[in-house]
Amino acid sequence: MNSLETLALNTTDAYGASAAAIQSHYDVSNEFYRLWLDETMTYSCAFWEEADDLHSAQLKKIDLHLSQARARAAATILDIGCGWGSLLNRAVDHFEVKHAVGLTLSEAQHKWIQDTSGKNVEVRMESWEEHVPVAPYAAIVSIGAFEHFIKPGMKKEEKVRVYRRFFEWCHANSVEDSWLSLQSIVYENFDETEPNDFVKEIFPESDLPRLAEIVEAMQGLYEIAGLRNDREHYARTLQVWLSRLRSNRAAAIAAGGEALYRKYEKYLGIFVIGFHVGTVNLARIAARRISR
Amino acid sequence: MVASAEEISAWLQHYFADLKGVSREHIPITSPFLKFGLDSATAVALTGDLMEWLKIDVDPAVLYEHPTIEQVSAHLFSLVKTADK
Repeated sequence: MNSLETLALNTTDAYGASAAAIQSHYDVSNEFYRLWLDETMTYSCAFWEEADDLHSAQLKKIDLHLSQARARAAATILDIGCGWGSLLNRAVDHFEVKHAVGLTLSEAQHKWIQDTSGKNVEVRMESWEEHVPVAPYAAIVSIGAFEHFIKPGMKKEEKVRVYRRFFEWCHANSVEDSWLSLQSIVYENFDETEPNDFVKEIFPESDLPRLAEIVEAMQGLYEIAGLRNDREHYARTLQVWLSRLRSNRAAAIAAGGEALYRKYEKYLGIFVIGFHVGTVNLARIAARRISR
Repeated sequence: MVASAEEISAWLQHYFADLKGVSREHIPITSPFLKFGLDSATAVALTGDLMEWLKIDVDPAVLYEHPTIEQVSAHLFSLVKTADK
């Protein structure tokens, strides 16, 4: 290992987006996000069945992941990239989870959860690499965080190495026969040699995985028991978010300013199209921990 | 009064003619949008303008779902009619 690699391994945020980069997106204004997300502030792809509205589809998504992770009545679960805490609250209130721990790098999300959640929910402002569990977790969920684990410009081999470190960490910090439920945007019919500068500005210091990289990084650590590619679910989620943002235009501009409003209108619209045409996809993976 | 399918079609022809710097005759209503160099940022801006004009919610992916001027005009007209009821 050369000195540069040693340095990178010793710096917790060296591979993925830094806390500052995460905060530049997620800390713009809780009020701004509240205007177009559902009432649980869930900021990731929902799980739609025909008659759903945004809120019911978000609850179905959360329930899908808690079920996939076999979280019911678990002593402790971990949510890596917990957003504004909707899954943590649902786990404690509806899945009889005794203690739900969430990790986020966003100050706004951290404070929000501390202010609004009950005593069985714990939120920590740290990355998975920094997190030292009190005891191994009975279930792990990660929704919409994998997208921030590596920086743009990394080669496939480097990406897989970082992703594998994540799965090794999960493996080392969870109990025997436990499950991991993962949701991430992935590149599909996309040419990484022509990155979109606008998207890079929206999500600084972050780059997406390919499904094959996730699968390769899991080998020997987790077996994939369930895999869904749900890009049409994300197109619909984004379309509803965009529609709500536009309906609340004046309030959104008051909360975040005109430039922010325009930026998000464009970003949500571009992603609707990306998921619609399949340049990006939405992977949902149920993975069973392999005993070693 | 709501816009007709023909008016929507003409609006789109103008839009793409301006975008390409050509006259309207060079924008056939049966050609796929991708031939006019449509990208996602353009599609988002265009559907935003359509929304303001037609006063209906327009999905940014509508030009991909209905990929010619003729098809999307018919579709948008049906939305406008429904919204007007």
